[in-house]
Amino acid sequence: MTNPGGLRSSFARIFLRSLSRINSGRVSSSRGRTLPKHRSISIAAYASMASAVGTRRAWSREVLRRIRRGGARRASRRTSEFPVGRKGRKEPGNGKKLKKEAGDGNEGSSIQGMRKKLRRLVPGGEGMEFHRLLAETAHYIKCLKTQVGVMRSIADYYTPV
Amino acid sequence: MGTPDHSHYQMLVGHSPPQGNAESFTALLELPPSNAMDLLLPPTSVEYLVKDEVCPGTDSLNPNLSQSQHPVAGAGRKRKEADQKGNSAGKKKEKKSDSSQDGQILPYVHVRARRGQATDSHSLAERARREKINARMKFLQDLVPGCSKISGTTLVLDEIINHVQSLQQQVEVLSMKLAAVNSWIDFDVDNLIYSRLGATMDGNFGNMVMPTAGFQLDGSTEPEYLHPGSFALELQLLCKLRSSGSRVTKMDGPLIRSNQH
Repeated sequence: MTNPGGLRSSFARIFLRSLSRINSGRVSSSRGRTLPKHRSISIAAYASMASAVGTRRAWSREVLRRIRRGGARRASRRTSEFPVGRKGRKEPGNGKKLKKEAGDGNEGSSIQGMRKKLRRLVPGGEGMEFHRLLAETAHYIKCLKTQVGVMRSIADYYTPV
Repeated sequence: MGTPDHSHYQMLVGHSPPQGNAESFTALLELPPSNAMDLLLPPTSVEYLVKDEVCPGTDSLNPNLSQSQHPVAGAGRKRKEADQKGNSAGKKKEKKSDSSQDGQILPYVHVRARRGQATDSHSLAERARREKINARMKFLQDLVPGCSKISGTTLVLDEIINHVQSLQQQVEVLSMKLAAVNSWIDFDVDNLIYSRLGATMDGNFGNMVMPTAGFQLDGSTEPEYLHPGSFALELQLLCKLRSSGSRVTKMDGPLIRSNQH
């Protein structure tokens, strides 16, 4: 498949670096109060994913944007807590094609509901057309998988054997 | 029209270097959607040739493509060339140009209609978009485990959504697990390791030896063959640290191997 080795090592590098910063207490949080540790580790995971990918992808740009904005809101990927309609985001008006599944026999809400759900799940998915959303989802899934693998190896290493 | 499909295809792929890594399949993901679809859909024989939605003013890619695609100015102008009407069902191949696409600019939309289907511009555009979406869905199906057997867009979409959600939950769970770890070794050593990690990770390290020449462990210094092909490269290095239980003193040595990352 793809070469996850290159991706994986960049994820690992950045993630471990941020982990070490978290553990040595050097985490700069823009918030007044400190985050619980697992929360900041989770943020670090997404941050390292997004930094490794850079700005090539819409989802990584969105993640980086959210993390930088951090502040009063939770800098997490949970889009449901975020206000929709950020700067520079065009309206997803033509993103949903109502008659797309005409021949499928699937009635009503299901397709529409799922598209919306997918948009909310994938960061940055709100403002793009559906086919673009699918491409972003594919890349996002690939990176998520790699990141989970990295985290799992690290966790397995550090649990007391 | 002759053979343009194949030559197009090759020229298209040849002219479209991936933006990110050079690996072939990653290239598939990085490529703009039209190219990805070209790679997914097989080149076919021609049925009808309909040109639609021309984007004028294209340049670099054009000269090679122009043999079979005549850049036509003005949207909505169609031209049918009835060719060898071999297969009736006909597969489709399309190249699109959208202004909303990232990456390359292809000349124009070039959609082949199936036999017996409407060919007005609206439904063509619709069909083109639908084909795009279907191709991407196919790709996603391959990506998500257990999705390839499912047919029907709803279920596939559902599967994809569940997969994304489960991955995100796994991130949360693992981050809680990592937060619970309280026996962190000093991570200063990481900066040593990463430079090596980046250098060697992408290559082959089948016969890599533990870099005792690079840095000196105060305790044991037995060399160890690192596990090729597994991520535990770096972890094994850490493992050495843990077993020795001491800090690492960095030596001025050829710590960094051949290519520095």
